[in-house]
Amino acid sequence: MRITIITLLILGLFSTIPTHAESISNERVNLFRAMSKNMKIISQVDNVEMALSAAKTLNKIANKLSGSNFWPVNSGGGNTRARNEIWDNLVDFNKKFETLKEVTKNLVKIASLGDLKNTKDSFRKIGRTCGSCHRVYRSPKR
Amino acid sequence: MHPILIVAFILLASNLALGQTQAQLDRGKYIFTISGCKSCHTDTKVESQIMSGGTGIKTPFGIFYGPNITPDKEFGIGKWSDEDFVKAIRKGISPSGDHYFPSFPYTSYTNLTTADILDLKTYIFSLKPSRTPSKSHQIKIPFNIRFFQLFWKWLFFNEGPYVYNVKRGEDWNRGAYITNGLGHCGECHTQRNILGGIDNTKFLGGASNGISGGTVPNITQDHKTGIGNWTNQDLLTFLTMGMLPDGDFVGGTMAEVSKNISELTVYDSEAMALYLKSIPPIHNVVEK
Repeated sequence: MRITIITLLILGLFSTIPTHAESISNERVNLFRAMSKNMKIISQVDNVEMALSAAKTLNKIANKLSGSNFWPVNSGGGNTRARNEIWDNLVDFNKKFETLKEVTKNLVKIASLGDLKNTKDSFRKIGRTCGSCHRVYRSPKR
Repeated sequence: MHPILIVAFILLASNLALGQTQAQLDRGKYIFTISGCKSCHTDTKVESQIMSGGTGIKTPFGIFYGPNITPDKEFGIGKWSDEDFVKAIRKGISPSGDHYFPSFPYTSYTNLTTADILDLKTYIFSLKPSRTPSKSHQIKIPFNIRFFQLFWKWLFFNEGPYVYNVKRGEDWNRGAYITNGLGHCGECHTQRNILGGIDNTKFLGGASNGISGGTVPNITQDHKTGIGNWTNQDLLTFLTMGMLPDGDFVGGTMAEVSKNISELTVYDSEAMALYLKSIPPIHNVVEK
């Protein structure tokens, strides 16, 4: 009886430890949330230095998220909104990430020149890039 | 009259005509973009030619395919007169007298002015013709019987065009025209009844049975279940770039819509925001 209880407790404990795919997807979700936060900063600031700082963060996250280690097979679903279509169309999915890296890099360049209006105009392109990927590869909010 | 004057008059008249046509094309392209015509009439998954026929829209009644509406005379609408085009948009009736299924949102496009409809036609007729045959809808019996659309229209269709609300200003009316007409927002964001008619008592209150089976958000001014706690700037940011107040960007079908409405002029996006801010709140938690 004691052994049974201990075995069940150990099994229960293991079931709460996230799998590798779950850990990766949790980290992904956190990085996307950080992106949202910095998107919001850029849309609201009236100060180009803050916009530049947020743009740099966006570019860093875009570069990090585009790594294949962040998208192991079977890491969709669960607490993420990543659709299985990602792994059926990896070439296209990666192309969209390359575009995101490019537009965020461009945003940093423009923000570095110090013009807030141009920075915000450039920022609009990021929205389209995000939307074009979400359209195909992200599930609706539950 | 002196020959030089005659030549000058002809040149001036030609330039005016060309200028008028270019202005129509520009206006037509704008209407085309905001109305989202390309989204239903072009199969972007296979990178088909623009307006040569779209992917299927799944509904509880079956799958509807946007037809080829390029100016091709055999496979498109190349033989349509101005009257045919206006009748299709305003009344939902084809040149041969058939009633369109409301998967083609004539129920909203009916609000367009005749001038806007004709500018739209001018633009569509400037596109390259395509000889791609339109796909047939796959509709469940008895919903595939077009004659029944007459009955459906009697129940649910109010023919336009948009009537100016004299109690409201120019901006508000422009916003109403865009939301109810060009943008046809109510087609997705309002709950439909069992026969697919829009329930106007719950205008923009969200839909549990949206396009392709998904849910569509409540965009009334309800603070808990709608967008009532969005500021005017939040709305404008959303209209101009599809960014939500939390910094996220829309996905799904809305991403395509967002791409279209991001082309609104500054005046039009502010008008639309003004109108949306005036929509009465409807408390509705949208669930499947």
